[in-house]
Amino acid sequence: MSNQSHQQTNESHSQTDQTNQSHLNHQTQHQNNQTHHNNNHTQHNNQSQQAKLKRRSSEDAMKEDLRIKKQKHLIESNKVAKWTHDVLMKDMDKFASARSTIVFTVMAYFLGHNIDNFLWFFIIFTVYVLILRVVRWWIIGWLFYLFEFCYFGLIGSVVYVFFCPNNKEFWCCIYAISTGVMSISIILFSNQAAFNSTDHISSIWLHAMPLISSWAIRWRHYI
Amino acid sequence: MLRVSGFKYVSIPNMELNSIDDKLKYLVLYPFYFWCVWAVFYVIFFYILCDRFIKTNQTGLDDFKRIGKVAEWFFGSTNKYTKFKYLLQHFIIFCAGLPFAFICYYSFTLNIIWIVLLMWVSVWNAGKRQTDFVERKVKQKIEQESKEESSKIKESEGKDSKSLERIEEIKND
Repeated sequence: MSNQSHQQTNESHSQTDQTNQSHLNHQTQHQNNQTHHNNNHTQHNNQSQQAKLKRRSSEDAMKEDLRIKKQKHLIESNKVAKWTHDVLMKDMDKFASARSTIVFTVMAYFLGHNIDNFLWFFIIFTVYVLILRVVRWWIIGWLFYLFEFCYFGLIGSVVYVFFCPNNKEFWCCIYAISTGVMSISIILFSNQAAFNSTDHISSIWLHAMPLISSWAIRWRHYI
Repeated sequence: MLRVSGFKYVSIPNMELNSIDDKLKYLVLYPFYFWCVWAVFYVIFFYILCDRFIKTNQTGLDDFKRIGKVAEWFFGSTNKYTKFKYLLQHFIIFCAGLPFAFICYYSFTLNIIWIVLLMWVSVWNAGKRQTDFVERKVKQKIEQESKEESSKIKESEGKDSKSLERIEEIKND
């Protein structure tokens, strides 16, 4: 009996082993299938993402080619454009650091000394920066950027300071926009206070100066 | 000089906004109207007048598309209803900025902290750009040097092989 039972137990053990093995095999197969499916899915996702990226990059490259062609055509056909591209823009980049240091020092001096003069300089330099930007972007072919909200806000703040400084509604508008949206965009668009780059420093001017001027007007009694 | 030319920015009658209605009207509603004016101008100018130029020129819509994953996560495909989504994105940023404006209007300290924070961010970005630029330059230099070295080694190996061949030729002779 004991032998029989032992044999039976052995058989049952072997059976359980077999079932366990088959279960394990099934599990591993299932896992393999799953991983294969996942791999397929991830591969498909990667492929679609790569295709998207390729499409996007090809679109960007097409646009960039078109822009460069237009720029070349403009420079070749227009004498003023040629001069601005070859002489003015290069000189501007060469002396960008010195210019921006002088401008910001003067602005900081007047901010502490006399807010009247500070606002005057704010208007003058904003017009100067905008003209430079228009000239540069006319050559590069980015003039459509000038219709962004930031430019609208900057021009609005200049118009307020110059034409209607007594208008309370306009003042609140300008304060809310310059302290809210335009200043947040410094973080969002990662603006850089790089004094040696004309484009970067004019972007900083565009986003930060309305904020500083509205701060100066709001807290004029404390300064 | 400014006062002589009639410049009187200090004469805003009452800067403090006391009632909640006034606060909402002046700091939320009027800026919203201002934003709407821009949005209407943008729509008219770009959708109707200059639609065909957008396709060949760089605009803010291109930047919106380049945001990529963030925009796609929130807005879905960046190729469908792009202009509408671009305006919506501006509106969201506008709404996100209003609380800062609201707080800064009533607190001198917070207004200064906000300005200092923004200055710090812009300086940080400039520093990061500069370090990236320097790192890129250093990498390029190292790559150039390694290329030059490898070309020199190849040249010297070529010379050695030539000399070996000559020695073998002499031996054979």
